[in-house]
Amino acid sequence: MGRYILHRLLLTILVVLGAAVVIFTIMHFVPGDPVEILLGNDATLEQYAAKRSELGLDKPFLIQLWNFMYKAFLRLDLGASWTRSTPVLAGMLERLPRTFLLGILSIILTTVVAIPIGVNAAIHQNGLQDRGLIVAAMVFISVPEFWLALLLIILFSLKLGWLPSFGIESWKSYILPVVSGSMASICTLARQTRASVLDVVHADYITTARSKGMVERDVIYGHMLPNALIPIITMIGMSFTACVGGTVVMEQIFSFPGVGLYLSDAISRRDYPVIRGCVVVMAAFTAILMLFVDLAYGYVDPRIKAQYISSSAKKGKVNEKRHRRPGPKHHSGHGNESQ
Amino acid sequence: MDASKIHLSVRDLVVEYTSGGDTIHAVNGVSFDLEKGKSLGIVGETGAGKTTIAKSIPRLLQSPPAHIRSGEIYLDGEDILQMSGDKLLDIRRRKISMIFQDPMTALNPTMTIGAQVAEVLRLHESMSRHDIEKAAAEMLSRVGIMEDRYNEFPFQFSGGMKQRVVIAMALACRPDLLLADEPTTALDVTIQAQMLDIISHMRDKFDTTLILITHDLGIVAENCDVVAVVYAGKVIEYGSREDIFDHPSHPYTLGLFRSLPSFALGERRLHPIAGMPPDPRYIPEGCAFHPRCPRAAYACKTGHEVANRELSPGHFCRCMFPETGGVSVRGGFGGHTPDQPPGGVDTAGPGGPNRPPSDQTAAVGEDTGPGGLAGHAPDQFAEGGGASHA
Amino acid sequence: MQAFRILAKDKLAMLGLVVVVILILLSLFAPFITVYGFDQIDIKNMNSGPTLQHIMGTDALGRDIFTRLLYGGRWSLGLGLSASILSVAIGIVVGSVAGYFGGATDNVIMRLCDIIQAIPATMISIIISISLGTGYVVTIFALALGSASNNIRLMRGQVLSVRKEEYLEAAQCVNCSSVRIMFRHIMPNVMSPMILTFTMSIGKMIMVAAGLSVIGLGVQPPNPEWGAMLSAGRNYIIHYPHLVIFPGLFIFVTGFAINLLGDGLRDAIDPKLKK
Repeated sequence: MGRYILHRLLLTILVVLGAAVVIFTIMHFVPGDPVEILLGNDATLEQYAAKRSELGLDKPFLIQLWNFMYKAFLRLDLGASWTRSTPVLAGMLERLPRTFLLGILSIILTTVVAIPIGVNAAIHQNGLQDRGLIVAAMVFISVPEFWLALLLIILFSLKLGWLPSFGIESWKSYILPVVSGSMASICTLARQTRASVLDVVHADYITTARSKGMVERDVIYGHMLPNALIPIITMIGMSFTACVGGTVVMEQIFSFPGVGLYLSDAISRRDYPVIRGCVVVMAAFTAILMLFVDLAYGYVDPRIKAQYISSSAKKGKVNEKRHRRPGPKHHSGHGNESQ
Repeated sequence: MDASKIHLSVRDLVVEYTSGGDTIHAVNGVSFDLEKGKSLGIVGETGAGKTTIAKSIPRLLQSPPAHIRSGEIYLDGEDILQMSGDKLLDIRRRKISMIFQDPMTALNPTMTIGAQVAEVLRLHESMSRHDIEKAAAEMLSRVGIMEDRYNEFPFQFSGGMKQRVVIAMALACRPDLLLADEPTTALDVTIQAQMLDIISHMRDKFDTTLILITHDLGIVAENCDVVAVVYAGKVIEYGSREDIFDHPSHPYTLGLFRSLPSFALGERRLHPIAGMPPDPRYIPEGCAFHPRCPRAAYACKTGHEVANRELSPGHFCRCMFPETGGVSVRGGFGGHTPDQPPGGVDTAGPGGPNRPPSDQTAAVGEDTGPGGLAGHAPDQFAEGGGASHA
Repeated sequence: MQAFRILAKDKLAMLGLVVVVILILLSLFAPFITVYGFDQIDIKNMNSGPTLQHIMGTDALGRDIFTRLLYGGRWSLGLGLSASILSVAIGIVVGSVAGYFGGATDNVIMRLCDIIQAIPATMISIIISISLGTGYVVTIFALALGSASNNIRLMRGQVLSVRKEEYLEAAQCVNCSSVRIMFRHIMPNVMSPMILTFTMSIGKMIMVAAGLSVIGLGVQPPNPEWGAMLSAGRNYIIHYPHLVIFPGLFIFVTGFAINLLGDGLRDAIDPKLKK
């Protein structure tokens, strides 16, 4: 297991480094001369040349790339903002907790609401709740998140005046961003939950559990859900990723002072180091998230965990555990029958 | 049968499945009584409704599609079908256990086997966690699974080992009634015997009533006191093991025996029952077996239900023209009566060469009454007793 | 063909198809439906709410919203369609190359996909938009590149699974060229999942494009693209919410109709999935 985690961790690091290279490369070809943008039109040639070498822009692309990677990953230095001359990382770290809280709240809301809805729909397949979910899911998946956000602002902030529409004043400021950011994920996750529970609802081991005299709720949450969990976890991971991507637009709409707003401000001011830094950090964040999702599979399903162990065990090293390893057809006898 | 000893009594059970627009008549009025500590074998072809009968008893049928249309199931005098939810859960926890057909799918793949056995005990008894785990480990060791495998998962077990776990689970709460639905069908022959040994050993210990569902007559001969032969959702013959094996009376029961290799050892070929089991959506009128029955007469095909006759005390048969002669077929089951020829007694029959069953059916099909049938009777089923029904 | 027959019986999918067709027709025949031009200014009625004259009101410059939305359909639907086509095309080409040639080519492409998938799709679109600038065509590219990696994977997987089939070996034996094999034998197998992702992504593209407009990228006002209109209307939301509500409604209806159609299509292509 430890080996597997190490292997996956290494892979994640490689992916993050790769993402940084890709991002730096794409951003390298932005139109316009950054030095000109920085200094304005009335700078002298000397000033121009000095600034250019200060930023390292006079060096070849590969050197610039190396400098960026070296600083970013070994010195944790993502450069400084052009327009505010503050370090990008400090700017991000200042805002990250708020964005992180927003994301965590969204995921909690999504999970807590979507899973029971999906389970109920599956249990009462073709019933009223089921049809309700299918219709609602169809509608809310098609609603653009930020439009929903604007509608909620119109209703709850402007007409009713119950909730603030921008900034962070109190805990109330989190309600609208979290709700509008979660609606689509709630529907997607509920739909996925329904489908995966339907896959196990008629399984024999569910009848076994019932025959033990278990209360139906324990049968559902103790036996059905754990077996339906893998696709659900995948979907939770995906909604979190979508959430990371969506923060930029959502925070812009709510003027929510998080990383997303930092990024969209930088976009409007063409502050490239900030943009680059934000995207790299968000990519790293997503990759780590995917790592956790992968590890969660092993935690949820012992068969997958066993594969981790066997895949990280060295070839040819036959130990007892490996003997019992699940093959694709694990029901062939292993000589355990002789007593 | 002594009424005070009756443990389980099923009365006129009718179960249907509805899917799409079709109604599948799985069980059509099944009744039987079972005394405490006895074992009942339910025998029949695939699709005859055996599993449905068993699953109806602890009400484990999925509804929809299944519906128990009518009937009563009394366990210790209480009707299970009328019970409230809580009471039913209690019955499942304390009184009835079930062993399922396929051990591969009967265990939850994400739980350790120890936890799955412990779960039964947790629902059944109020013990500390530690005691429950100890008791579960003990239960597992009784079926031959060592303690060090307590925390392993089903996928780490072979089929036979899984079935042991299933049996341990079923017996952990010391049920009064054990329903075993083809407990050995999915297993290798060598393991089958071990499983049955475990079950019967446990049964002796706890005085458990057993319902054993199988299509294997050999297993019935070894394990059951009473036998019910099921065809198209009805019990067509019911009696003690001796009644059924020594005096099989229903043409279908006879046909079952004749189609067994062990029974037919002395003959050149087996005699499968002609035709197919009826489509459970459209069960034939009259006696459901008549399209395949060599002695079917006009009366068998009309709409009247065939009455259940008591041929001898406790031996019932739903046939207008039951076989009443002594046709012992026990010799066919390994080692019971070694001095008898393994092919069974009188099996070749006086009629000499056995015509294929389909021919017989065709011939009988032209007959219009019992009298006519008697004329053709020296066929397959009329040995020994002759046309004693006439 | 079987799939089309099933689809034709699916009422919801047909409803979706009808709505999409109506939206396309409305945008194509906009000049015959409305009396205004999409940039025609009505000075007397600036920022007016819905009235008989302007059924969806006017914007800050007195332009008729309904008219702009009709014309905007050309922009938005065109954007969704072309971005989806481009994304699927990239997927087919790159995915087949990876799947068919395998080895190092496959390795490089797939690792690149791994890396790109680690970056949220919105972020990819954002940095591409920044690098290439704002504008209609650039946005189409940004959207297509942001979502292409999934299609590449899908195509590669399909090619790999078909490559194992025996008839392909047989085709190679009788000396068919690689490309010919690819198109004669592989395309029919990968067509249905591709059609499905294509359909489903049209609505998504329009939504993401609108999101880009909100953060100052993508298509910008004064183009009557729905997302751009929505993002421009955001500044007037306090007093003139209709500037936000109607463009969003068009995006929503389009997305909804396409999802209905796509769901029906999935059931028709693979009836097993239907629950």
